[in-house]
Amino acid sequence: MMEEFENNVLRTEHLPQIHAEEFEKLPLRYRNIRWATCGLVALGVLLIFVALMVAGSILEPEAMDLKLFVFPTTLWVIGFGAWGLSEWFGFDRRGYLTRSRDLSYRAGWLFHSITTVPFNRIQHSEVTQGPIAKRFKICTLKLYTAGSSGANLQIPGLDEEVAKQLRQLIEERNES
Amino acid sequence: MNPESFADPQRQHPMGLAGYFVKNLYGLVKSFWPIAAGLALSSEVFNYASWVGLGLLLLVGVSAFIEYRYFKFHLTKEALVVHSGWIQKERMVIPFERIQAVHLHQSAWHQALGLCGLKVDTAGSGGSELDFAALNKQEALDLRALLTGGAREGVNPEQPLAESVEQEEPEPLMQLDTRKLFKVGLTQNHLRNGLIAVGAFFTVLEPLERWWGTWIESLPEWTLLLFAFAWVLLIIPAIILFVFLAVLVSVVSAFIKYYRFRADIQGADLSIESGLFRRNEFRIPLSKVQLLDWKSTWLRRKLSLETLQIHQARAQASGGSQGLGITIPGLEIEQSNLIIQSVFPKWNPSVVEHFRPDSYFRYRLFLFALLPLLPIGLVLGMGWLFWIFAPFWVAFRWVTTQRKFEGYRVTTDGVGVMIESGWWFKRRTLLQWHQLQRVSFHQNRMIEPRGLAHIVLHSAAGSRSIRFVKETDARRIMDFAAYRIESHVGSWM
Repeated sequence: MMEEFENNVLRTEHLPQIHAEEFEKLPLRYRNIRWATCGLVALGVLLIFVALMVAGSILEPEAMDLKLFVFPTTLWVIGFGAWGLSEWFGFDRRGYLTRSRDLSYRAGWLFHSITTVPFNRIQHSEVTQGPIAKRFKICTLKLYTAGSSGANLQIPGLDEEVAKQLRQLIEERNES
Repeated sequence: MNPESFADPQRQHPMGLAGYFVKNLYGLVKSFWPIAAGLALSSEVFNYASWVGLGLLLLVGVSAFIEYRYFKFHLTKEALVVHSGWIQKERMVIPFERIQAVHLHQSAWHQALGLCGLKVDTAGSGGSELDFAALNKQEALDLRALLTGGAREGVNPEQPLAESVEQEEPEPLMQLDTRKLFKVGLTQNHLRNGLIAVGAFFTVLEPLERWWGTWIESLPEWTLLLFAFAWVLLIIPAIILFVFLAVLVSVVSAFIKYYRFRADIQGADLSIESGLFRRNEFRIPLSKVQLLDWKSTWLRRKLSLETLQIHQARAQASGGSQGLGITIPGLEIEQSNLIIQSVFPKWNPSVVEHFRPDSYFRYRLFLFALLPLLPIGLVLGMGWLFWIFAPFWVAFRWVTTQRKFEGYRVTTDGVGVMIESGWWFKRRTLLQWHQLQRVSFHQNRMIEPRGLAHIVLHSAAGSRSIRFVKETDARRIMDFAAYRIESHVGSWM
């Protein structure tokens, strides 16, 4: 007996829409780590600059001029100002979305992107965690697809439990 | 062909030792020849040149022997297994399904001795994963047949390399005769080839400075004085000489690379043979092709020719463009269509939807094209010369960016997607939605308020962008790509 044949019209506007979905946010403690990193790097650069200036004023006091401070200070303010702004406005944009067939990650403020990796294209996955991340119980999920030597999608700042569940989900979906 | 003959670990043909020796010697000379040339001019070293040379040859010989002696391979039911290394032993297992392509190559000495080199490409390698220096020709054909699945329709692995194509397919898909080869040579990038030739000339000249320096010093003083005053007159002859040399290099390199070029569709494989001194035979399973890339210059288009690059899955640095791929030069439109029909048979250019970039892209292109005016203005000191030059530059770049903008177009029929770009150097890429690995949507603070976005399609053979399209279209494209990848059942490579 012949199977019932279907050939329904499929319109692209009726496809599941990634942008319409609510992305899950990353834990707030990850934001704290990011702020701490930004602050420490800014402080480190500032200290190096101050140390160089102090050394310069001791060794070559005649060569020291106020103009020498202007350019690096402006650079410091613009650089870390942009970093700070992108952390301030960008963190809320960070998030991941798990659908039944794919995983998406959204990030960025000045330059933002959404990357979707279908489960059936994931070659393998990896969870990494540094010592500081371990202290805060967060980790990075890395997904690898074919055709690249590096991770194709990295989701940093995931809760340990969530990362474990996502990895399990990927394995289940790849097996089915 | 007997698979059992590869069941036990075995070495390559003993001439493989010579292959390794030549390869290592070439590597050594290529890496250290400027130093060697410099040292050879020093009288202390020159006196011992024969001993130094002998020592180096011995070193190369020993390393080649170790490489040959400890390289063994065999086939299991599912994989090619290779053992190599003496102090640091390595065991490499390449499952058959991971093999992208197996290529045969024959240098002059291979041909004289009835041998073949064999290369194995996998998706995990940027270049060749494995290189056999020398195998018996029949052995190489058998091994290739077993590695690529062997008994595919239309492929008879028993036939020898040179004859296999002729007997199966009397009319090849395409071949380059001398006239067409000449056209390919004439339409190459002469500027690049000329600069490479000049670079090579000075690289050779630099370590030999002591010789030509002495020669120049021996010239009478009046010749140097004459040159000092008359060098301006030599500019035009030098340009003519450069153009002549560049074209000559292009034509000669085309002959060396593509001599007796022949492409065939053999059953489920695309087979390509070419080369003057070194005959290469590439065979790529059509199902493993991920991306087709056509490139053409203005001159090449006038001669109705295009160059096609066929890309397979590969490992690559993120965003890189190098990797596994073979090139078919001098392709005519009918031949291109035949390849499309064979590789992507479902592609239907008559039922398509077009996407064009927003006109913002045009002004952005124009703005970037005007940037060189800044350094030029600084060099010319913003004088009258600059103000004469600037309007011409602005008008010229307006026309070229306009054409570039018009040349950018994305077309999809729901199965594949064709991305066209460029004006003088045109490029078009065809890939299939279901073979994509992932898809990403990009925006920045400049284009977001204008309702524009970029989409990047990531395939296993590289990434391609659809730029400056309407945000609504970009979203549709992203959703559609995800749908096509996720609803596809079966193999994608």
